[in-house]
Amino acid sequence: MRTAGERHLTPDEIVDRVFPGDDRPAAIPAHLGACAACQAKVARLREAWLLDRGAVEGVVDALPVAYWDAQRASVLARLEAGNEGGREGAPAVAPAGDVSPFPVPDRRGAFLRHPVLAAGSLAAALVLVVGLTVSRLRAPAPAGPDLAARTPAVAAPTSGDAADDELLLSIERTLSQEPAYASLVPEEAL
Amino acid sequence: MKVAVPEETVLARQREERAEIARIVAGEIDRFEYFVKAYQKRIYRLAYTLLRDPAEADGVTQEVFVKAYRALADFKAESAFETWLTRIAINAVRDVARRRKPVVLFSELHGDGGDDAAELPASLDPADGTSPERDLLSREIRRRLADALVGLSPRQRAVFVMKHYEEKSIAEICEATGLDEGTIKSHLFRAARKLRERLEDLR
Repeated sequence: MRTAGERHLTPDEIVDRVFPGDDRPAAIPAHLGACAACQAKVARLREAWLLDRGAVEGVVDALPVAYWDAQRASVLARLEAGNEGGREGAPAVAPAGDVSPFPVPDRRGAFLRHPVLAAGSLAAALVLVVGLTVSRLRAPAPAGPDLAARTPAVAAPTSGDAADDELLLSIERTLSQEPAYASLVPEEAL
Repeated sequence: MKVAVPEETVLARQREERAEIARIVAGEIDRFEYFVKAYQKRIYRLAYTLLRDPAEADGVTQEVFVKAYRALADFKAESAFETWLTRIAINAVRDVARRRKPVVLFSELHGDGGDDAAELPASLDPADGTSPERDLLSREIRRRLADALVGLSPRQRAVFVMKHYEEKSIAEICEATGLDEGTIKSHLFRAARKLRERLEDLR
């Protein structure tokens, strides 16, 4: 029978070794001191965690000074804009254009933040739709001559067109009279 | 590794910050730059660790300072300015995380791991002495870890990151989140269990 000191660490125990839920370090299980496999598992998890933490640090450290300057300028510009158009005597902030390398326009909750404006816009849209529908229903149907007047007329044949037709007919006539070319004349022309 | 700051230094900084706050509340808006400069990197790092998105982290960082400025007159200096700012940041991150649905896992954002090395600073890339298998496994665990973090509830994630990434004490986390010690420990415990579930199939 295996004692607690002989059995391998459970997955929970391995996680707890790397991520203790307390400020004080947990007691090291006796087994961990002797088992290379368990030590390797704990080491791998710790290594992965340090890699992730280091990667986050790396991303932040890699940002250039200009980025922080721009972010700072953007914040201060927003504060200035808020104070110019805001309340007196107390820090007030109004939205302003960002000068950020990563601007994040967030308008997803705009309607929720301004319920009066939202309700007003909806009412205006409804009035417009109802008004248009009623005016269409009341308006008389367009009369025939009016519709005809608005319909573009088909262009009348010009004298040039008539001359072309005559030429084509004469060619067909000539061809049909010559036996050698009779097969070239379209059937409907014969 | 977290470096302990002497108490005198902390007290001197708190005095300086209180004086700056008084000037800002009196109308010297420009003085607020002092706070932005002092804490923007820290707030960004916290937001980025929690959200893993540079644009969102930037938006949150700016929002935190704007909100802090707006509420500056109400700051009672009962806690450190940084703690107060952290609390605003956690709330701002929570708002962003709540709006962000469905959850996109970190590994999905970064493809199949092909560009993984690009994220790591050179000093953290595994040394030549490590075996490729071990390197691969570490990266896989790291990816699962990041995924598991994104999969935690905003509150669990905030507590976990403050404890294990920011190296805050339980007392500091209590102060920053307004939660009691038992709740913090419970969040840490649940976060660790979820983490274990994510890593279970790995050797």
